Amino acid sequence: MDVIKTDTTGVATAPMAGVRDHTESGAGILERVYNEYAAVSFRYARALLFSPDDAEDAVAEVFAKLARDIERLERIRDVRFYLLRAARNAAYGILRGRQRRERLEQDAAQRLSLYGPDDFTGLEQAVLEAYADLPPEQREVLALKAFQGLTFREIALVVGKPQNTVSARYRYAIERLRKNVRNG
Amino acid sequence: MEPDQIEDILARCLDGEPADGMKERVLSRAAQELRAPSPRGVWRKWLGVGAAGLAVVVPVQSIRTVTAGADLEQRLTQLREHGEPIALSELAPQYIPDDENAATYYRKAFEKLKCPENSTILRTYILPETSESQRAELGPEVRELIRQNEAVFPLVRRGAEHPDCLFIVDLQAVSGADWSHIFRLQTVVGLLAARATLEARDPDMDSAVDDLLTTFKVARAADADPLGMSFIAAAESKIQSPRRLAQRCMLDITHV
Repeated sequence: MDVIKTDTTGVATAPMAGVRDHTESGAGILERVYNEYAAVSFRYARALLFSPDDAEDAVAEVFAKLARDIERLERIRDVRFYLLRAARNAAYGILRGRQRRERLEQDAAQRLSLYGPDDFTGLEQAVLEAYADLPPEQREVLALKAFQGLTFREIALVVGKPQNTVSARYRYAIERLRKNVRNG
Repeated sequence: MEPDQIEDILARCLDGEPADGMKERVLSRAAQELRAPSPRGVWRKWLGVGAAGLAVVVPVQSIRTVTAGADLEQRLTQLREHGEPIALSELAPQYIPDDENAATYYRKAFEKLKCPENSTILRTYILPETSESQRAELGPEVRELIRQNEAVFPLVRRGAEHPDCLFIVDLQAVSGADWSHIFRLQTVVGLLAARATLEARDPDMDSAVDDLLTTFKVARAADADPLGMSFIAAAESKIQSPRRLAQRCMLDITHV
């Protein structure tokens, strides 16, 4: 993560020039990419899906896709954003499948229970439940801003939406979260 | 609550590490993809190859088609300028109403014919190389043939008044197609030429010239039929061209 640079547009970049070594095997490259970026992808997927198992599936899907076309790494300008976008797509695929299976959206507490054993304070629990109650589109913006430290411009690149849309989603998410915590 | 406070809580609470063994599981699954590309990947690759091939072939073939089309059109134009038929509609004979079709009258004349086709007597009589003594010897037989076929001549003369002559032949029948009109026209021309020769000897030159002109017209009718003429050409050793007969007949009359 500390190798992130900034390009002329002001967007943080992590070019693959130092990652792709032509003498290195595909498995070796994948391992280095995993060591560098898998945790970021996992946290993002987990913030969307809550379930660690589902988040792991999303990451596994991302790396399998990368392995199918390992040469693609040559063409990827920024591996971090690529992996975040890929993790997002995989997570949404899992979300769609989950909704199809269950037909009904689970409530916030059920969703949060997927996250694992809780040892949160009352306020933390209230914030997390309010977070879990947000729509996935607002949830992902908040997650990328909160623990990935991305700017709105960078988040817009990951989610593939205009920057104004992203900042509006963030604003709505904060307002809704505040209201729910206050009411809770 | 301020946004920063909310973000801090979320960052702290949601910041979990991947489970133990996740790295091995993820990389193991990815390694399988490394070793064996998925059928979908292979399918996409071949689809790409096919699309690239089409991208090359389609423009090239289009250019070739356009070029060949222009070349063909140019050749067709040349043929058309030479008067060659280049369409079925141009090749097919023009419809001629029955009462304007000489063939209608010739067919009626054929029904009245009482002369063997390809008659040796007639042919010998009108050939220029036949000696006078031979011709004199054949004269009565020829006169008798002409007398027996008197009903033929008015019909032939009526037919000859019409410039258009079309005998309908069922070409679909191929080997079974009826080409008998060619032989019968030849017989009619032979009769006319023989009668013109006799009339010239009598001498009744007006009748001889009339019959000779009719002979030419009938011969021309057969001559104008390209299918008939090609048939005659194919059997040149066996069948005398009506025109040639008429020419020889004219030579004979001139000689007389």
